Amino acid sequence: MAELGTTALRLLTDGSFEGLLTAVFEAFRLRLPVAGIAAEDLYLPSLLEPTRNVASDPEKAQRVWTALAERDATGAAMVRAAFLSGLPGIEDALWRALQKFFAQGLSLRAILDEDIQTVYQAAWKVQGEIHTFLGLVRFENASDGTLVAVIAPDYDIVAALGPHFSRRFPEETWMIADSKRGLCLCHQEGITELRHCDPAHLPRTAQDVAQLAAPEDVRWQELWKSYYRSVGIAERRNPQLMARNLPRKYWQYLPERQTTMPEWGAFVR
Amino acid sequence: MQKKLAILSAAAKYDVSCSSSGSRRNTPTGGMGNAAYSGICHSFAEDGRCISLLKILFSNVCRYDCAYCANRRTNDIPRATFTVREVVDLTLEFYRRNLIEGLFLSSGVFGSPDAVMEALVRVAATLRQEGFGGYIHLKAIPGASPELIRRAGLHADRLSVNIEIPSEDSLKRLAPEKDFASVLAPMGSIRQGILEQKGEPHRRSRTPAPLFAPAGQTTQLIVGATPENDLHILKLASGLYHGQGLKRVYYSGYIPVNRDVRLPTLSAPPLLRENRLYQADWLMRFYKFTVDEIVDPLHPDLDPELDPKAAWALRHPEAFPVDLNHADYETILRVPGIGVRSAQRIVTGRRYGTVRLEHLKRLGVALKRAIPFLQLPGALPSFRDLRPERIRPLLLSSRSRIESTQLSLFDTPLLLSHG
Repeated sequence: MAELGTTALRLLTDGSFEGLLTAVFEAFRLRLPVAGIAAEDLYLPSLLEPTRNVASDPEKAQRVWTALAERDATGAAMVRAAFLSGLPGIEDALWRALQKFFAQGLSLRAILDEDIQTVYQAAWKVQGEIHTFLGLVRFENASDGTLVAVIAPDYDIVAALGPHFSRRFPEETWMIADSKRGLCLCHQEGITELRHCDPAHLPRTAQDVAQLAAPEDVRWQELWKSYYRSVGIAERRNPQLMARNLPRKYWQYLPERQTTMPEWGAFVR
Repeated sequence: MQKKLAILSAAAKYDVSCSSSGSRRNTPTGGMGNAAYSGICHSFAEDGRCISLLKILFSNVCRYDCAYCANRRTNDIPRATFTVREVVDLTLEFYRRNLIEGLFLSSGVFGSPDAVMEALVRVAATLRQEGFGGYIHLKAIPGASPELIRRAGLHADRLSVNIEIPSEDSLKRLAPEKDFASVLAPMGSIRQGILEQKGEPHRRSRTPAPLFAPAGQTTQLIVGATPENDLHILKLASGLYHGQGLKRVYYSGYIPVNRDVRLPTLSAPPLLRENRLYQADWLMRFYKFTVDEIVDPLHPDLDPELDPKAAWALRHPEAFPVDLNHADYETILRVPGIGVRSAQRIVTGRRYGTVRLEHLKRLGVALKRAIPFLQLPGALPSFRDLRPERIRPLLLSSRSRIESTQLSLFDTPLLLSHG
């Protein structure tokens, strides 16, 4: 489609995964010359680039998803994970990769291809963060027995935590909130669903989260912190290695990583 | 409780095994908790090591007086013993808050080996009775009866017996009350339990055989407290992998916890040597090297300046350069700077095109280290002359980087997924 040059369109979506898949569907159905796909509210209009809005359509999105997942389930999972990265330009790379997959029959495993490699690397990062948060979610036990956790992940992964925690804590009532995006993953009576919640009402620090805990519950928090302190080996102290394995950006909601000393204490004489 | 926990977790910290991987136990109906096959890290301690399990001793009271152990009888330290209920509550409450993957329970030998083993088994059995499906790692106490070991295996995901001292002579010198036979006996019972469970699919009853330590067994060797060289240690490890079917051998750089004339005085734990041993261990488990390729009587110790894979490559110039577009997976794995993941990516990617120099970085290859060993279209064979003395300095220049990545690999359960 390169020969169409500047007449190639940019399809604008509502920014959802469904929107992206709908745009792919429309591009193929109408044989549109598509340069790329973008979320409408993040798109900076350009005089040279014509656009066209595509309204999300669950049915059309499902058809694209089925066509993809039936031929390559792993590839489909990779596409979805890459989308969650929200990295700049990822939708364009996804469009080009999917075009090659559907129109040219190129496998999504062909990771020497530049677009597929971009998608692969984005998916790799997202899956890494999902795995990290399987461990870093910290539940506080509220007075009514609900387990509450707050996270602030780089990528939009809170929904992807659902299957793991539903399997692990099927009988509990729990909620994992993404304070960046205002999303809450709620589990009650065996059913898990994603809801929107106002970020303004969500805790901002580990101390705020601790406030949610039932008063008699503070002792478990203290026991955990005490365990954390005593399990490290002083002779092997290695803060660099610790920070590499547990990047600072994740400390916000970890009670064991809240410093009691002022950050610049070492410089006070 | 807080005091007990502090004492009994500090007493357990010298056991380096932390992994929660290798088991797929499902959540019991109406219960809580399952095992994630890849293992999950829940935090990282100040020493940089992954915290995955609640790692504690049931008791640090011990009737033995092993020179290398912080909990030996003659040390004047605070002693404590948990009750079964306390350990069960701690595990369940920590687990429910997603602080841990499960429990790692060991103990000082406060009574007869059977009495100690019985206590550990009771904790695990109680947890399972109360619907707990999370990960349990139990220590098998040397001298405990095979029947108790068998019961332990029915509840635990992983069992381990620590050899600690890598040769019988050194062991007798440092721990006169112990011998190799008492360590190897429970190891044998565990192996038998695992083999029986795997070997008998209960064909008639249609019910699957009960799980027996599905994540296998492991052990730990203390490095640097005694004079054994790397050849001796790696031969022992290789024998344990092949002969006893162990899942992991952990190497623990000796930390002088006691003043004792039988032990060396070290200014710092031998962390570099420990790291090299882990790298060699990785070569045996994931890179299809045999122990004889890594160390031999001519090179009985690992090179402190080079990781063992680079050291092997320099001893074997005839194996290079490797053509990434045609060589088989095992050959690609042997190129310095190429890991399991990048080798897999190369083999997958080349089915759909030609691997070129410009692809390598994004495929995860450490280019600077790999390039002298590769043959690629579009790249000049600038290092046709593969004389080791010319390549060695090139590898050393990137040494600090290599070390940092390798050190961080160690003990991250995500990467133990193969184990």
